[in-house]
Amino acid sequence: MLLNRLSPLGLLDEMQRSFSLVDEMSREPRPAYSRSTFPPVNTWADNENFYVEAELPGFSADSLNICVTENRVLTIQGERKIDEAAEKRDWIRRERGYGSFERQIELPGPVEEEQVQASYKQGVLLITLPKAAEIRPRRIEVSTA
Amino acid sequence: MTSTAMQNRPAEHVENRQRPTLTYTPRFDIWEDENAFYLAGDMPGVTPEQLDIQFENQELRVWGKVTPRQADQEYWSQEYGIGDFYRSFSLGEEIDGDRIEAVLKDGVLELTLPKHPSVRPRRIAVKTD
Repeated sequence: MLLNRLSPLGLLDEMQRSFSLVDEMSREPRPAYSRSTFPPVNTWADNENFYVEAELPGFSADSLNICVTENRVLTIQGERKIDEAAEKRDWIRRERGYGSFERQIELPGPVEEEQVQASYKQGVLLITLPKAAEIRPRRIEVSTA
Repeated sequence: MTSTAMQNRPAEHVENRQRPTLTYTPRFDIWEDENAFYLAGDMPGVTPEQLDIQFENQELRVWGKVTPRQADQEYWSQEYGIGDFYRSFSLGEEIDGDRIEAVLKDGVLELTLPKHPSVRPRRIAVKTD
């Protein structure tokens, strides 16, 4: 299970809670595209863009696949690998997950697919999705005649 | 590779009342071999300048300060909070504090804590008559 933070509730509880927490915290109905909850994302917007951010420490930028379909659905895929030699290590504690994920997020409005940008710094993935022209707030000129 | 130098601090308890942010516990993997202990922890959003690692009295304290992102932002959807990362580890007598190494890459902190040579298994040569 891929998670970033250690929950104070204990490792056994967090499996159950992680599913209900997503529903409680989001204010919009979740789309039925996928039941995946990893990675947790924060999304916000300004007049120009939608922003989607996820914490993905240790995922190499090459393994991250980001695409937008139908101008509205954002798909994020990636994989965090561990080399096979690591399996034979003398483990004392193992809390970080490894594996691949895929998550789809329905955006609140259409975007310009060609202009979507993504940056990956210090393990934080930030995707900037410019809003399609039709949903950008348009300034209305006031004529003084 | 970047390495974080050991901070030279008086023995004060690191408390996060100094910063008005939430603090989270980062996940760590820990393993060992005969030479050292190894730790790898997830600390996304932390830069090497913001990382504060102290080792004192066989206790390792890791504090990653995170610059608030989206501090005044109104989220459409928020699934995680952003704050500092803090965790401390108690280790045995065996660590050579002067030779601890730290590397921070892509939000993952990797620490190597070498064991004192005197503690490592010593092979005893057997003489034959």
